[in-house]
Amino acid sequence: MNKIVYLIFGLVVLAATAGAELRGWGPTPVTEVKDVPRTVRNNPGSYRPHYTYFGSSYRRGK
Amino acid sequence: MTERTAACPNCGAEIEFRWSGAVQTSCPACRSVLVRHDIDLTRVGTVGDVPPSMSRIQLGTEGSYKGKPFVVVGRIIYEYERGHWSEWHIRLADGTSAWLSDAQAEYVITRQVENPGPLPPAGSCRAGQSLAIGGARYSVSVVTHALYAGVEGELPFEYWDKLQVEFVDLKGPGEQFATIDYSDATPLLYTGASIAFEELHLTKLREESPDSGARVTGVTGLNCPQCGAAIELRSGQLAQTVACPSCTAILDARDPNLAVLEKHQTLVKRVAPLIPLGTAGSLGNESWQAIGFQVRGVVVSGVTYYWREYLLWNEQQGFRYLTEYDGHWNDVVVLKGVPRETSAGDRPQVEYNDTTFKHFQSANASTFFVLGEFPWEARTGDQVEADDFVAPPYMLSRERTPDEVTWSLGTYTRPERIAQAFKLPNALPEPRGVFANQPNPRLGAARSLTTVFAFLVLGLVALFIWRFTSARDEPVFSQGYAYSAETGDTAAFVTPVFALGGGTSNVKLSIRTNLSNAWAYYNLSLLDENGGRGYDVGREVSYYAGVEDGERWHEGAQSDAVVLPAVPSGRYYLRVALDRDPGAAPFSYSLAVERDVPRAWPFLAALVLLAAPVVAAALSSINFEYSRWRESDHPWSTSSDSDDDE
Repeated sequence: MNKIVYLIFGLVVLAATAGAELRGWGPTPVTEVKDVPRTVRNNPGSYRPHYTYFGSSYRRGK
Repeated sequence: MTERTAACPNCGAEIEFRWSGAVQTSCPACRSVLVRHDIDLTRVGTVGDVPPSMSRIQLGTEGSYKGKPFVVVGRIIYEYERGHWSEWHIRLADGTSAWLSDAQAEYVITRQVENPGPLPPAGSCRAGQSLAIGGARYSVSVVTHALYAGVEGELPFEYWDKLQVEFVDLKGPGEQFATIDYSDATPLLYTGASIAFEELHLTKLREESPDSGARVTGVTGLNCPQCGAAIELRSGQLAQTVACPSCTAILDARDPNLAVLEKHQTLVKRVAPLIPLGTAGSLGNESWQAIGFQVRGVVVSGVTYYWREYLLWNEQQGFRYLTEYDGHWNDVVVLKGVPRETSAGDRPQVEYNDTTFKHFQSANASTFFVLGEFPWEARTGDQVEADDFVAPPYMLSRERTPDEVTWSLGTYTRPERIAQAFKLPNALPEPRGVFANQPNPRLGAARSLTTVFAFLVLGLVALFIWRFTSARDEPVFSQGYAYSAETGDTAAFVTPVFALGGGTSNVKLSIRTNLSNAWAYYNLSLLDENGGRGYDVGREVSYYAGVEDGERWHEGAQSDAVVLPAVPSGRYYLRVALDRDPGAAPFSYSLAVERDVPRAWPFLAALVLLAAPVVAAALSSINFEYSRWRESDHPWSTSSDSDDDE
């Protein structure tokens, strides 16, 4: 690999590392939802999370 | 003081002395050899026909050595197996004299050493032998038995009635040179150094004449006595052997009739040189002409490995070689000095020009085919002991015969450089495999990447330190809970609202339990107090332990943590829904939330990514070296090889 190409590659890696740390990016499978009703706080049972445990397997929610 | 002129006692011609210390001179008119006794000249003999010389040095030639002007005043000519060579007697401006040896376009200036101490007796030296003389260590490079062939001009001693003379040439560190002259009962030692033709700044040289033999641009034409084909002698009198380009008969170039030495070359099929003989090219700032070609080879484990050698000729520089094996070329010059032999463990090595050369291979090299002319008696079947030492891109080679040891230095040269130098119409074949002194192209890449890698790692460390010192790493929520099977309390619940400050960053959710031989599954949702945005994650915590066959075991863990990425600042709460092992005993757990937690793994991942190209380049470089040494006498061994050996 060319030295210049490697330098550019390395700088991209450093930038990605800094960005990942600053923004908190990571590989954890977390589902972000955008339409959570405000009423959940008053009625927690009404919310169906995207991950629910049924017996021995995980099933995606609604 | 003696007179500067005198009359020849034989013919009366005026004899002019260029050097006041001359003991012997010759009359240019009647060719009498005259010995001076004080003011009298005595005729002691007659100079025979001086052999024709292709050297442009002559009596009266002027030059300089180490800044001291000199003039050539005399000459002794010897004949040996490779033809003639001249010892020119030179008078320096400071009144001293020295000898300028001129053999096969190689020049050495020596002076006699007074009281040199004990010298080995005649006939006792062997090529390659190490000698300590006058505090210096020399190696015998060649033992020559020469025939006296004539004298000219002024000499510092009487020298006109010799027959066979033994000379032992010695080479020392650098370009130091010495020779032991056994022409008298007491051997004489001369020491000095090799010198390049241009460093002598010679003037008043003999004019080139059309029939003087070799010039790079001149050719002496002859015909093969076997097939009648035209033979060209480009190096003139230096040529000892010439192989007919048509029938490949090997001819004696010293014989006016070109006596046939070898009728047919049968060891290998005729090989066409890639550089046609007669082609002139430029190497460095000098013009060289290809005049000889030979195929040589070594036999290893029953397999013959052939390479090709081209003999190049330049009138002032002498000879030079190009070698080619599987497309790998080397530009080879004969060393004027002798490398210092050392060893590393049981492996020999040599030092030359502050460079260590590792032993690569030793073998008996044979000549299989020759074409063109050579300054030695080239024959098929000629054998030498060859030892190669490498320090890419250089290779030192030692070739030994019973009478001579020759060191040469090869420099790896790309084929396109050769093609360009000789203006070859077609591209030369690309190199195949890895050659002994081929520069490792991957080594440079690995080294340059390593330098960049070091800078990048420094940047990464700086980034790491900055991150771990500037992160908020802030606990924002922590609460303990209890679960009891009796209550069956698995309903979802929410935590109090907590604030996540700063910019968009991660959030770490931690679960700690005292579960034992049970599991629990946590549906966790980090939800914005005002609705809309939320993050769902499911985590299982399970811990089992026991004793089996007297050994304790456990699996799982009583705690868990997860980092939610890129959560904007705001006010949030956790919705918690717990699924549990139906048979679980009552247990307690706690939930904790931390904001902007620094993590080490992204830095470790970055380090791995940065190191990957460097490691790949290093492995590639190592593989190249492995391939190089696999062909040597010292292949790299693996542990399995060692096991096999055992």
